[in-house]
Amino acid sequence: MVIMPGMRLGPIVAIIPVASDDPAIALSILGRPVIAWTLRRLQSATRIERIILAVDGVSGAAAMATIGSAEDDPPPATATGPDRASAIRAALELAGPADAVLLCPPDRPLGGASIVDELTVQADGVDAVAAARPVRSTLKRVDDGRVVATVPRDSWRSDAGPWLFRRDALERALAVSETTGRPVVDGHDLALGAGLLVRLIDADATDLSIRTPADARFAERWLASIGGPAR
Amino acid sequence: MSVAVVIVAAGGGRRMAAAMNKIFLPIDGSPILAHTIAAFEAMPIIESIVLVASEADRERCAALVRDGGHGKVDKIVIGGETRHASEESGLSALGVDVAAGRIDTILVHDAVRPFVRAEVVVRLVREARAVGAAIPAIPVDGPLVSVDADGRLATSGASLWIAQTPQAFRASRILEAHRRAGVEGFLGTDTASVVERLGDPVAIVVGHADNIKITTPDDLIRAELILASRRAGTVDVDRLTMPA
Repeated sequence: MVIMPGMRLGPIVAIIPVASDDPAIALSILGRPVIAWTLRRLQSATRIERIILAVDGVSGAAAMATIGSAEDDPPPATATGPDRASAIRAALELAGPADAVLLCPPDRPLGGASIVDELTVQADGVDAVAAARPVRSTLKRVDDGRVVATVPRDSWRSDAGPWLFRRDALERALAVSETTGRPVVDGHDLALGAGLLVRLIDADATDLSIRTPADARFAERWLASIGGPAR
Repeated sequence: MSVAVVIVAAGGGRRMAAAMNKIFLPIDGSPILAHTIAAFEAMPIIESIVLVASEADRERCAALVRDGGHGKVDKIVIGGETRHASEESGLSALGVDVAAGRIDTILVHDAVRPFVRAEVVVRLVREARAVGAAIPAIPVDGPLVSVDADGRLATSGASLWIAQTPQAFRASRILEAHRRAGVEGFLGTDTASVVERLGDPVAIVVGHADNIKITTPDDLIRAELILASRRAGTVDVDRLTMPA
């Protein structure tokens, strides 16, 4: 039997790390919180068996109330912790026997669900795979108000996420974070802090973080122009 | 002594996947190029404009200039196969005026950046006259990532900036540097790289995130938002997240 790349990964659990005061909860796109759109995106991904919110801060209750009121589907499971790494660790305990974990920022509603398959296919031989957008601008290294060099842009990508981690690699990265006390915000910090083997793949140009009211207005117009969320 | 701007409009716009050159796509009913030319027309510091167009678009560009009453557009010249060749066409068209001392500073600008601001242009000209070259740029928003030779994640750090246009130069120096780059087969990703390679200093003028280059369909949506925000006198679009 030929094993296709990525096919050896078993069940995938998605964890959405979110702070209880995250803009993805407060901001709305067409009347629904940004995080609810992100949830819908992941719910469309057939390879994801379960979605867990990892809420850091005082309580997940506010987040759940906001999301729950906007969702027709039952709200996802929630794990909480005093900080981001603790919340992700708690979510992993809820995850059950997953081989891989998709760590998806809460503010990424615009990309399609197919990104999960694309990440999975590229997971062989590395600890983590992330989608990131190729840089299309000219980059300059700047020092003291002067250009030092024009930097080749081909190797750089921006706005990495979502991240697909092998579970053991994610657990290793969380342990490193605990040992070093290095703060964790997203998959980038975990992969960097633990020195994980990483692969980057191209994300859609519109798979952007929605962080501000202006971003949310852009998202509304973009969704209107393409006739609804990407698939 | 005066300031001229070369507006490079000869590109095709593959990424826009539109039936026409993206310079003619409308924002709020007017072609992108018309917005760009109008921005420079309104700046007292700009004396003249050279428009670089493709052969196929020449007549349409001429009509746009004529119908818009864009009196500062002195010349429409034909671009080349590459961005560098198109810039060279525009710069060469200014050669006589530069040699005669009538133009001391040249700006090179992307036609699809219609939201250039006058106060940034004034600072660019001042810096170019003092330093030799100046470009508008903004710091990269968040870390850029890559994978190093060992397969580990690498991040860009805080010293990377995104270059924009217009890029401003002492006129005689950019003509010489650009000609040399062409002779030596150097094709940079922007105009300033042709003076950087000669060791010339290039000053940074802090730009604005809304000075976007419209290259993809989602950029058109950003452009509409920016225009609406400016007309409403609001600044919240300054917080629109722009792709690097």
